[in-house]
Amino acid sequence: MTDAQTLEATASRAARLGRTRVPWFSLAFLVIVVVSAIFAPWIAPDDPELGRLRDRLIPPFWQEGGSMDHIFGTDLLGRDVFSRVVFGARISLAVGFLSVAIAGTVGSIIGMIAGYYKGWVDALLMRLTDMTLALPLILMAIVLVAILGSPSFSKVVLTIVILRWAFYARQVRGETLAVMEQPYIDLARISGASTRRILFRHVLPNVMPSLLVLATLNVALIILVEASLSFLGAGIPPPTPAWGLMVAEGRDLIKTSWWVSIIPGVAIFLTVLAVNLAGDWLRDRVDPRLRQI
Amino acid sequence: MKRFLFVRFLQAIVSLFMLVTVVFFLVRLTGDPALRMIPPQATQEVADNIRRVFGLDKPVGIQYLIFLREVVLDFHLGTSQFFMRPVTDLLSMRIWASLQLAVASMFVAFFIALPLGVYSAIRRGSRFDYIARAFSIAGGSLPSFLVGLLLIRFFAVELRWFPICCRSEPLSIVLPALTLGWFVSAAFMRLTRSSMLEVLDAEYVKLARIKGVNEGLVIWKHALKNALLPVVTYSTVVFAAIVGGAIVVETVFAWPGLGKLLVDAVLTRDFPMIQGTVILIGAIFIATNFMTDILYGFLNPKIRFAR
Amino acid sequence: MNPLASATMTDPHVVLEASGLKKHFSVSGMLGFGTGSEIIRAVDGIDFQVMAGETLGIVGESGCGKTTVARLLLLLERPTAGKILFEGTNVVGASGSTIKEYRRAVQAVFQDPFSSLSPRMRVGNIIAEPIQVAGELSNHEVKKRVSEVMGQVGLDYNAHANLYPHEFSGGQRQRIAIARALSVRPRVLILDEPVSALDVSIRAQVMNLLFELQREFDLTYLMISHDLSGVEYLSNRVMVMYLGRLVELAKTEDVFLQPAHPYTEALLSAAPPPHPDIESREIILKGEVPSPINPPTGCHFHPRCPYVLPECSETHPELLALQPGHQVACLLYPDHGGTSAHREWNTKGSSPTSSGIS
Repeated sequence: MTDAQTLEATASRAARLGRTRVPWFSLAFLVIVVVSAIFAPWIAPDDPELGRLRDRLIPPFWQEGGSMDHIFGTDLLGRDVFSRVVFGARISLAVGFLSVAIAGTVGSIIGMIAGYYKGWVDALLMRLTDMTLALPLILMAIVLVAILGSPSFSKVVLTIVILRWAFYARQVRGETLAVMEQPYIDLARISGASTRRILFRHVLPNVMPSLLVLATLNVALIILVEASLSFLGAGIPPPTPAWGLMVAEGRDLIKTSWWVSIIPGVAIFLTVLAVNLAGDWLRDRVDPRLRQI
Repeated sequence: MKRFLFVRFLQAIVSLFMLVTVVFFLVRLTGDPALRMIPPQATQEVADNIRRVFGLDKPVGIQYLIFLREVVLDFHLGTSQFFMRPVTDLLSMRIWASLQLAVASMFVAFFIALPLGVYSAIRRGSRFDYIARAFSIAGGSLPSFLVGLLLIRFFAVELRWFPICCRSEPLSIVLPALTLGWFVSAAFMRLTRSSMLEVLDAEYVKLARIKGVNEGLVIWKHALKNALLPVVTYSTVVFAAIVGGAIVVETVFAWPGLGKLLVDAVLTRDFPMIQGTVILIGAIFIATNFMTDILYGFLNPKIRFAR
Repeated sequence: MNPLASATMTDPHVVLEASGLKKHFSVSGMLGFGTGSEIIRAVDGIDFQVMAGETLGIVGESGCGKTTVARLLLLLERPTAGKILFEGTNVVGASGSTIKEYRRAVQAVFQDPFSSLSPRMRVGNIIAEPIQVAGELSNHEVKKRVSEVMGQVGLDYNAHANLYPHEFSGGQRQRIAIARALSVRPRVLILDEPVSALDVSIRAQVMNLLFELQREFDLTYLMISHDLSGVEYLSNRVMVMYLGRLVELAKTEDVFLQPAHPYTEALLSAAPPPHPDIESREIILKGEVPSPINPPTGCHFHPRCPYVLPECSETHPELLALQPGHQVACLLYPDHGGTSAHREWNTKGSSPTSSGIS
């Protein structure tokens, strides 16, 4: 093939990859997860927190001893694993979206302020951002939990927000700086536009797209973090059926009653994977330059 | 270069200082430390005594200064309530385990990530590339505790090749290192691949190709060296992160490292221990960042030969 | 030449004036420990007046400070020293309401049509923004005004107002920018290289549009350009800048036919002649444009000047009138210390002789 032909072939293949690679499975799976989370009380056959001791450690239906009453079996306290997984979706998604939403909003505001005012405001905020970002997530999460007292849902969300706002702030600041360089900002000033107006009418709309993509990709990470925290006992407290917590509870039973740990673990894996794939696709569509994140 | 180093060094010192300060005040935030040490049924006299012994009857500012002096001059980080031993003792015991795990994991990560990354860059767009990238995304989506548990289930329980937990035999390190290394290698692979791609695309590589140099030589000699630069600098950061941050893996395998120490301290509310561990991990972090800066400054000619 | 020239002379009303305008930027040293000993004198003491209804052109090479002058006049930067007078009132450091008035009256059109419009705003909203900020019209009136002004620049409200900037061509975007500037019915329009980024075939169209609009709305233009022919076409008067200073200010035809300052002369000679048969006597200046951080002493131009005198490196020549309406800052001329023998400058309207050039 000549150079020209090769070039063309590569280009068309790239175009095809870019456009038609809609991650149908991921999106479908995510829909399932979201639906489960919202309609959990109607989908789950049993109460996730109540268990009958005589029904404990029943294997999943495809194994010997299992039944369709408990598709995924039961755990040590006789609770239906399937119901717990369905309700667990609520926790993971709630933590994921809530933390990202709050951290994203806070981070964006700070990032915009830093990028708009520049000078010492920017320098100060960026130092703060760098420091916060340098902290290893799980480590600091544990420490924060220690400080804030016994763990709970709201404390987990708060912890994540405190640790993650800087991530959005940095990105938004960079974009804000780029936007501020543009002549249309000068022209807005010349027309007498106030700071608020410039920020919300000009900077924000231009910063939004990449922000959304970033947020989506982050949800995956947050779900993992929450799962790890719950696993360690520093996240959502029992008896709430958080996936990470379920894995921890079934840890000692890994040899015989593997389903207690592995099934919620797989749930985590699939959900995070789906979010990652969907997020990647979204990012490629909006702005491939974000690829290095 | 000298000026660069000096500034970075100062920043490191400042960071350390701020770390210690922040930790001190954060811990105080959770309430009077004395209350934790005083048994509930103690009389007022006993309570006062305890306070005096631990220096908790002095104003906060003075306590802070004492603390600073202890940390900086004596390297004394307090006494663990749980173990009833100086914090530094426990830290020095555990730190080797963490370092060992970190090094082993880095090996694993390099071993997996580098060849995969390089090869998928070379064979870009091929099926291999596709699989490698899928592998990387999947790897990044798996929670580390799940991987750990699965490895234990198959290799320790079923096959009995490795011990189930702890740091009892030489082979104990394999599974934890695999788990942690796997987790880290996903990001590494991506970085290697994109860095390699960038380099392969570079003009001078094309030029070398045109000149007719043997293709294999081109790849291995020129491209690889430059592609690995960002990977190397990134790996130092990762190293620092996993020394302190391998918490989950250490918990799953009951590996006696710093991470597990911290988790246990949090769960038993052993504040001096929490304080000490965080400071140590933070210090390692800062030190490693500083060394990364030096390394980077050395390798980047712009900084090396600057005024 | 701009036929409005006669109009200006009968109504010499000063709309905008710069007095002692200076803008210095300090360059920080390494790592932000600003030793600040390096100062860029972007604008180094400029005085000029803009008359109502005229077009004042500003020319000079890159780095001469003309864009900075524009930014100062638009209050995008604060002057290091000096005043900016709008209808006699100083707007530098003025109160909010004064500035608000000023912003209504003085608008701008910038060079790059692609980055002059906010990419995520609809065109209709872009044009409406200045009016909305001024806050005096109702929504309905705003819409009417936008529609009106769009028609005036050759666009159609119904067809175009809901579209985004990237759906338009370069020339159209510049029109949108002009429409936006005009939406608040300003008195002065500052144009910074308004057509330089457009295709050559479109330039004439937009220039003509500007010309028409000036006449229709009695606008005053301040036009910055390095395109001499464009400047010559639209301007009544021209001012020439070099390294932050004003070197010559006069009526367009005077500047182009009888440039007094050696720099102006060289600048004009570098432009291609209007007809290939006319021999181009390009004066090649020696050296390069010095950096504005360490400008030469005395007259900034002296190291490159073909007519340089010994005193040029010591004394800073002031801007003085050679004859009414023609100001020069050069020691070669009478009243500046030189005698007319130093340089033959023909006041009778023919091109200067270039005697003395080796």
